[in-house]
Order: sequence, then C-alpha cells, then structure tokens
Amino acid sequence: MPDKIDLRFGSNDVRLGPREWVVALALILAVIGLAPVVWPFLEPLRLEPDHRLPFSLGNDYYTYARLCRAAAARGKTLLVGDSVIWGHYVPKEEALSAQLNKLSGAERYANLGVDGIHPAAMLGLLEHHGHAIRRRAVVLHCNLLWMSSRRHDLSADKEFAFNHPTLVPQFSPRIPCYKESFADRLGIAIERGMPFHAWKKHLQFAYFGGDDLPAWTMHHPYNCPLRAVTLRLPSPNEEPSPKPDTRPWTAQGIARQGFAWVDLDASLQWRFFRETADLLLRRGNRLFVLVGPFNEHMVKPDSLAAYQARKRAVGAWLAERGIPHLVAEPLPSELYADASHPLADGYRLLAGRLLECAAFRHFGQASP
Amino acid sequence: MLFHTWVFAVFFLIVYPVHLATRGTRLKVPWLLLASYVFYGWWNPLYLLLIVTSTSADYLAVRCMARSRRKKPWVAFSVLVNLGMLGFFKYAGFVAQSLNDLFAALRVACAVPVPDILLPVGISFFVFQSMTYTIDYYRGLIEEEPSFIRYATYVSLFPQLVAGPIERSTNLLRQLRATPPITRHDIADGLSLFIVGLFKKRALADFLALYVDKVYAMPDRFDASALVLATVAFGWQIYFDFSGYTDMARGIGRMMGLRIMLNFNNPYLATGLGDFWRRWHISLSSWFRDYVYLPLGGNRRGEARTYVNMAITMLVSGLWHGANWTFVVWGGLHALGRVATRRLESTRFYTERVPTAAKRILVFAFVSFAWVFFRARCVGDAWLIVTRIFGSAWADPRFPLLAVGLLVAVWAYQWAYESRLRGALLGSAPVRIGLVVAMALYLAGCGGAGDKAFIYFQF
Repeated sequence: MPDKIDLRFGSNDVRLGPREWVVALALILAVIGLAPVVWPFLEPLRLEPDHRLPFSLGNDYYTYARLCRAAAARGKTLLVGDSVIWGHYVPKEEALSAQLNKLSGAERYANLGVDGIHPAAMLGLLEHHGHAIRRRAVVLHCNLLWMSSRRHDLSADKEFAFNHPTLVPQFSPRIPCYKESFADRLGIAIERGMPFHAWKKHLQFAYFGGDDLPAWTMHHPYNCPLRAVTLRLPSPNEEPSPKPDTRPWTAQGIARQGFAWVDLDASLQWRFFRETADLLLRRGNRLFVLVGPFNEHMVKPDSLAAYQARKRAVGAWLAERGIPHLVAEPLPSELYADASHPLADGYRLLAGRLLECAAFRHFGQASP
Repeated sequence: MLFHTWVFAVFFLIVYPVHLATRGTRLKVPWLLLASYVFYGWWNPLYLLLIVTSTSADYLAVRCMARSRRKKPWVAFSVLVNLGMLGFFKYAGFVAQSLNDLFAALRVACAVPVPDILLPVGISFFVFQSMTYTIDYYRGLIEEEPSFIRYATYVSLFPQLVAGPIERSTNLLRQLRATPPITRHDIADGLSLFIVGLFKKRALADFLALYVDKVYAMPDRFDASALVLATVAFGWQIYFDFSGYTDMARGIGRMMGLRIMLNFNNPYLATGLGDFWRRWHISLSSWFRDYVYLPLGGNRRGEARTYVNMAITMLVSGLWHGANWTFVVWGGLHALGRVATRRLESTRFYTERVPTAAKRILVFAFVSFAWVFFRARCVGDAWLIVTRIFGSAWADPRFPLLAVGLLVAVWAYQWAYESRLRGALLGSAPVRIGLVVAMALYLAGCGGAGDKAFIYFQF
C-alpha cells in the first residue's frame, strides 16, 4: 500500500556534496566567463581597412562587438547604420566608408553598418554590444525609410517577423507588432546581457549555418561538429543572399511609390533613433548624423511633400540639439538601386558631398 | 511555466528565499500555496477553477465522511467529481468522435456534436493525487487533514503539479505538516537531481525529438531503417523527457526540504515486463495497482481473473495517457505482453538461464514496438509504420552520430550504475564533478533552441 513509496535519492544520479558543488560551479563559471574572452585569440578577425561585417554574420553580435573593438582601437571614424551604410548593393570596396577612405586618401573610416538593422535594433545593438566605441567619432545614419509605413515603423498592431527581434526593447516602450510571450521576452532580456550567450550564437552563425548543434546534426548527421569549427570567419566580401539586383531601380522595373509616412511625433523608429543619438552622446561619442539620401525620384508626388516635411523636421531636431549633420540632397535617379540604397557611383558622389560639407569637415578635423 | 526556462528561474529565485524565511512559521504553507497557484495559473488563470474545484470537493468529502456514519456516498461523490471533470475535459471530444465514426461505419444518419475543449495542463495528475486522499481516508489509512490550506497545497504543490510524480497524502501531507530542516546537503542534493534532469530534457530528449518528429510527421516518406531508429529514439526521448521532468521536480522539492518519491528506476534495464512497470512511471503504476488492480481482486481470485484484472488495469492505464485509440492499443499491447510473459518470467529457465543482457534487449524491443502506437498520430499511421518497418527497404537513415554517441554513453552509464562498476564510477569526486561540469557546459553551449514542453504535459 502507499507506505511502499520509494524515497531513494535517485536511480542514475550524479550526486555532489556541498563542497563539490562549489568546485563544480567555480569551474563552470570560469569556463563560461573565460570562453568569450579567450576565443578571439584562437579565431583571428580578418580586418580589412574598412572592417565590413560579413553578410552571413549579420546577426552575430559577438563579431560585431569585436569589430567595434578593433575599429575603436585603430582610432577610426565609425560609420554606424543599416544596409545603406553596410552597402547592400555594392562590394565592400564601393560602400560609403570605402569611398570616404578613397577620396580622403587615408584609411580613417570604418564600416560598422549592419545589413537589415533598423533604429529599434540599432539602439539595442549599441547598448549591449557597442560599448567599445564609446568616446569615438561616430557617423550615425538616419534612414527615413523606417518611418515610411506603420509596418516599417513597427507601430502596426498586426504581428509580423522583423529583423533582429532580440535587440529591440523587450518590455518598454511597447512595440505593438512584437507579440512574444512574457517568458520569451524575459529570456531574451536576460541572455543578451551574457557575453557567453553572444559567443554561443557567434559559433552558430559562423560555423553551423545559424543552427544550434542539435539542429545542425540533423542536416549533417555524420559530420563531426568540432571539425566544422574551422576558426576561419566568412569573408567580408561575401555577397548577400539572395544576390541583389545591382541595376538602377528604373532598369529593374520598380514603379514609383506612395508611402504612408508615419508622423514623427508618433513614430517608434524615430523615437529609437533619437534614443540612439542620446546614448552615443551620453557615452561621450562625437556624433555626426547623415540623413538620407532617400530616393525621392521613386516617391509619388503626393507623398513626396510628406517625406520632405519629415526630412526638414529631422534636420531641425538635430540642429536644435546641436548635433552636426548633413541632410543629403537626393542623388541622381540612376544612382539608386531602390528607395534608399545608392549604387557604387552614388556612394562616391555622396562621399564627395560629405567631404565638402563644412560641418563634416569640422567633425573630421576634430576626430582623432 | 517550464522548469527549463528563465521565467521559472526568476519565479524560483523569488519563491525560494521567502520559503526559507517562512518555513518555520505559519506562513510556510500559505506561501507555498500562493506560489503553486501562480505557477499553475501562469498557463491560464481559468485552470485554477478546476484545481480549486477538485481540492474543495475532496476536502469536503473527507470532512463529511469524518462526521457521518455513511462514508460510501462521500467517496463516490469525490470519485464522481474528479472523474467527471477528467472525463469532460479529456474524453468528451474523443467519445463524441468515436460515436460519430461508429455511426458512419454503421451508416446511421446521426452525428454527435464534437466539443472543442482545451485540455487543462496536468489535470490527469492532480485529479488522481487529490482522489487518493479521499480513497485512503475511506480505507482508514490516513487521518483527516484539518487545514484546507495545507490540503490545497498538497494537491497543487508546484514542483510536481503538472506531471507528477502522483504523490500520496501519506507522504506529502505529512511533510507539509512538519518543518524538516533544510541543510546545505539538501541544497546540494537538489541541485544534483536538477542538473541531471535538465540534461535529460534539454540535451537528450529535445535533441532526439528533432529526428522523431520529422519521421513521425510523415511516416510514409521514410523507410524501415529510419522508422526503426525514430521509434527507438522516441523510446529514449519519452524516458529522458519524463524522467528528466521528475528529476527536476524532485530536485526542486529537495531544495525546499521535501522528499518527492522516485518515479523512474532505469526502466530500460528491466529484465521482464513486470519489472519494467515497477521501474517506469512508478507513481502511476503503483496508483493503478492500489486503486484499480487490487480493488478488482488483484491475484486473489484465481489465475484467469488475475489476467483479466491485469488486462483491465493496463487498458485503463493506456486510456489515462490520452483520448485516442492509439493509447488504448498501446495499453492493450502491454496487457497482452504481461499476460503472455507473467508465468514465463517466474520460471527458473527465464530467471537463471537466459542472460540478463538478452532479457533487457527483449524487453526493450517489445516496449519500443509498443511505443509506435503511443507516438503515432492515429492507429492508421501506427499500422503504416509497422508495415513499413517489416516491408520496406533499409536505406541510410541519416540519424545523427552525435545522438548515437550520447545514447550509448547514457545507456552504458545506466548499466554501470546497476553493476559493480558503480562504486568505481561514482566513488571518485573528480569523476562526479567532471560529469556535472560536462553536463552544465554542454547545456550552456550546445543546448538546442526553444522551450519545448514536456511530453507528459499533454496527458
């Protein structure tokens, strides 16, 4: 009867005493604490003059932090932003930082853009993984495309999958289209403060195709996972996947579009952009903001006025805060691949305009 | 709220210090009850209505039995409330669908509406646990519990609420009345149990689930080798999943000063089917033994009746697992197995001549075969899998070697654990520390993504 209850300790346990647990915990914490610190000595970062993050490591925030450290250590001026800075439609040598280096005749600009990142995620990226660039000169790109609809702005109510969800604020301010459970948000909030977690994700992105180990073995059942860790990172020159169409937007057959611009007062992405600028200023960064150049040729006349009003408002806010900036005039139509991305010649022209801009020259002269 | 999530870690970090501070006071039990209701209500606060109903009915039944000469109506009331609730939430849809299938087969123009009812997590467990109290009181085995709060805590205690072990009031209520000291050895022991359970769940069960889910989702696309491996993998998956949950539950209980019963005892080392059921889901097996098999007469009414009682118990046990004919067939297969081998297992030939390894492999093979019906989505799928196992070609199954390595290591460990090697294996502190560190680092670095729920939550 019930008195036959089996209260034995276990049936296949590994039982440690209190002191043994102290030893075990010390060992576990040592490995977890040291792995992300020691790893860079084993895995060389292939630094080229302008540091672009390999496309396949676009979600690898550990490598991004390493890039930040390397660029900051070399005293470069850091270009921070989304795929416009990263150079989605051009090879590394044609992106804005590379064009600035070419035109200025010195390797002083580093590409810290991340393909697909938006202001909400950029704030999280710099907050959690960009400590190394504090007190450095930063050119922050403002892409008004992220305010071109409620969906881009993340203020739509309907849930959809957006880029870099683990970087956005998990609890406050509330992002209406982000419907993760409380438990998942809590997990994300805790894990993104752990360097070990970022390192683990780095291994997944760099060597296991973004999968965790169990999922990877399902695709490679007979491969040794240790052999997959080659300690050779992907090339910064690898092309985006799928391969982008590098013809001008007009040649691609893209029609002019009417955008449902979000009011800046109500825009989440604008709020996150401002918070990013504030974060950098708080951290002692010298900040220059590049606004645009958006492809105004692609905007239908009825929404062009709304865009220009927002562009002016952004410029006014930057002026009011005393942040040096350039609200870029649109490039010639044929130098755009889509609504916001220049082609190689567009980057060259933009770099030239930047270098001609008095505020930028002043910013550059004061940079280390 | 799953044990292997951050939200549980935060929950426990709040609950545990308060438990340590209040355990010697009158607040100990109310605090545990509050924590348990928060834990259960986390899934859906409405579920709390069910657990409160079951708790209140059984508490009331015993109170009335204690004050009345006629006990039978009150125990019947308790059984009716609990089984009625279980029947409605778990079996109403199944019964209606089965009737419709029957009408269709008989070409009777009649359709029963099939209710779409969400199965509350853990209902099969807490209903059984609560009923033991009324039945044991009726049998004169226990005293009445005067405190409703304490009784409610016994029914809903969060470590073992949603997937057992199904505790007896004789064990758990007694511990809730006392205030046993919590030593640093209890905390160390609790952590030891928890880490093993976490490893079983996250590193092993969830890993094997990737292969099993893929194959069982489309069995017609896989040949014999993959189906056999997926079936064997499922046998290990469900064991690691469920015993992992139990280990974590026992570990948490231990840290809180509570001794929760053993639920698994290396079942795949069983040398007979009877032995298997003494090792697998011990709390449920013993529940069915004490509250179904023995009341039916057990083995006291002749051999034929014994077999009938065993078969009924196994079929009911199968149905307990889920409202699907697959579980009935699974229970039926085990009933057949037990009936066919009961006498054989007690012969001198079997006990002395047949090598232990051969017996273990035979039992494992039979249990694995029965798992086909347990895991398949429907009887048709199960039959398809069986026919393809015996009738299709054997090709490259693409089963991960890493999973094979982990399984072999765990099985070898279990063999060693039940052999003379145990002392050599676990007597050395560096070996034990090394094993724990290896498990923790594997979990931290290589554990899969996602928070996959425990299989037994669906029951």
